[in-house]
Amino acid sequence: MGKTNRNIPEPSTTAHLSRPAGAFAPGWRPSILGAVPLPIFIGLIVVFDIILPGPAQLGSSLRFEPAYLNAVLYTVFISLTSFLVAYISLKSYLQTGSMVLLLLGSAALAWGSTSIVGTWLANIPGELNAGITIVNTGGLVASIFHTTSGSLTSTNASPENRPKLRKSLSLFTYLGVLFFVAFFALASLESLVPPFFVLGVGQTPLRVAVVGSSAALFALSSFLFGRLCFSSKSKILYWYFLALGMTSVGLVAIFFGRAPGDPISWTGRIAQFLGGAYFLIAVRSAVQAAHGHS
Amino acid sequence: MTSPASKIGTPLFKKQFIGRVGDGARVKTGIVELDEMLRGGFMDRDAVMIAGSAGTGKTTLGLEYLVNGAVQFGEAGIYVTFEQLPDQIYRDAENFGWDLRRLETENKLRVVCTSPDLLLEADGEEQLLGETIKELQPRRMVIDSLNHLEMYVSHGDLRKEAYRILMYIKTHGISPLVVWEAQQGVDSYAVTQAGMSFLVDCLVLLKFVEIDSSMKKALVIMKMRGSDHDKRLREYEITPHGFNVSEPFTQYEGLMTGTPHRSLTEETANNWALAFGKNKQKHS
Repeated sequence: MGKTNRNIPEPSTTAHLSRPAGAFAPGWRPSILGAVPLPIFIGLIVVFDIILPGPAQLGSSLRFEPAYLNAVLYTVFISLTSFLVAYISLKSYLQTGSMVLLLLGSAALAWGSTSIVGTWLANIPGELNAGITIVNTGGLVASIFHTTSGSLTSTNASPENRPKLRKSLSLFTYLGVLFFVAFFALASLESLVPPFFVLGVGQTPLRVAVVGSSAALFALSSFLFGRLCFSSKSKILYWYFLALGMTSVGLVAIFFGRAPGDPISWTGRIAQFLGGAYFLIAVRSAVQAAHGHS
Repeated sequence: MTSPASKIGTPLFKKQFIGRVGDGARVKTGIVELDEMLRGGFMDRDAVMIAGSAGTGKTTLGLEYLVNGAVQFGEAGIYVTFEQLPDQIYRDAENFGWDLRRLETENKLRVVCTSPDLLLEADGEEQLLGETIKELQPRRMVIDSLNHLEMYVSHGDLRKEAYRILMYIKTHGISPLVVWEAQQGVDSYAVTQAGMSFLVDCLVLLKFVEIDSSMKKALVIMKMRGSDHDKRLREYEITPHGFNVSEPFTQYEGLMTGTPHRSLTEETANNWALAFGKNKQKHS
């Protein structure tokens, strides 16, 4: 039973809230330092491709693949940062109902969840193909969502959902993504999905097609958000554009890799990890702007 | 003048109250969202206060409570007003599609337009309302507003008189709803200062909040004795059909203290949305 409340707070009738904080810094210049790694990593991939011997001649001294290291790094730099992006995009979507944000969140969730599931699964003996299949497919899904989101933003055609729809639609979408990841992981483990990687042979044409499409779509979405970033001078968008660009470069490296753990493969991975760090900086920019206005 | 204490312990008091406490019966307002906030409605025969500054819709809420009671739940009601003439009330109600004259013809409602001093006279409530109560057997009553009593009694006596009137209504099996106009800026403070919040079992506060340079209306249930209730501040609008309570102000903190701001997470999400959207100021 409730108690008598004699200590009711003493509010004032009116209150004032300042204009919503903007993320647009007048006179802001893009960080050159942040953009420098992009050409450097492309150059490194080219150089390694020239100097490294073919897969058959690649000695074990040129390979570095300790167990679980890749999984730990993917979890920290890609999955956790992606989950943060998915969370903040969800909160933004609930505020505005913009489908762009729901797509961004879904992309991040797909990228983060397939990365964590796939890389840890790849450490189980005999499940390397399943792990690679999951990560690469997640990359493709994420790139499709990102490109759709970027296209909608660029054309200013983003539909907005009514407040009553937002919770249920976001729940449906996010659960749908997670269900897809779980279903695809099981299907890969049961060998129901055509192989992406065959031990002793290397990547299959299917993987080449999937990773190639992902890299191209990540690059396209990076271009779309980059264009928007330079027209709106948004710090958040700038780092997001670079993150997508680094992810794209990281995926491109897969084409040139001789074997898992070789210098090209690590160059690609580090590019993706740096992409993850850039996603984090994008979120941090939003938090900093919030600090300035709250 | 009858002292409040003299009525407690009388056979009528015992008849009305013993065995009724905690029976869980609810008096629905008929405003679905508000009833949800109240976990089904006001507690039966609880004294309810609707407090708020001018223009917040206290009278509208009181009238809707009576009209919904009569139309939706078959519960007759009495509207006692000290501030408006009946014609004004009928006209204002018509704007919301409420035909008070028809409800009066059907013996589902009475509009009593009177002076507070009549109610304050010795046995005034019985003389003023006794016949109507016998005739109508109402379940609901709205008094609009208690502030008018202040003009006739000292500040010290106001609480005593209000208590006497509320007890009279309750002992007749009626759920009273009283309107209290709080001064701009100090609404619930004024309620507590006058000792009014202690008198009532349920206090609903209506207030203005300024968000994004627009004035919005917010409703909060400050207290509800003997029942759980929604503690969140909810936005409401007065539509051509009456009260429309909508979503809680979940994105904001500090609404009650007068310094509303988004939480850090919400502000971050807002910045995120602004960066990715071209409709940069469009927010719900």
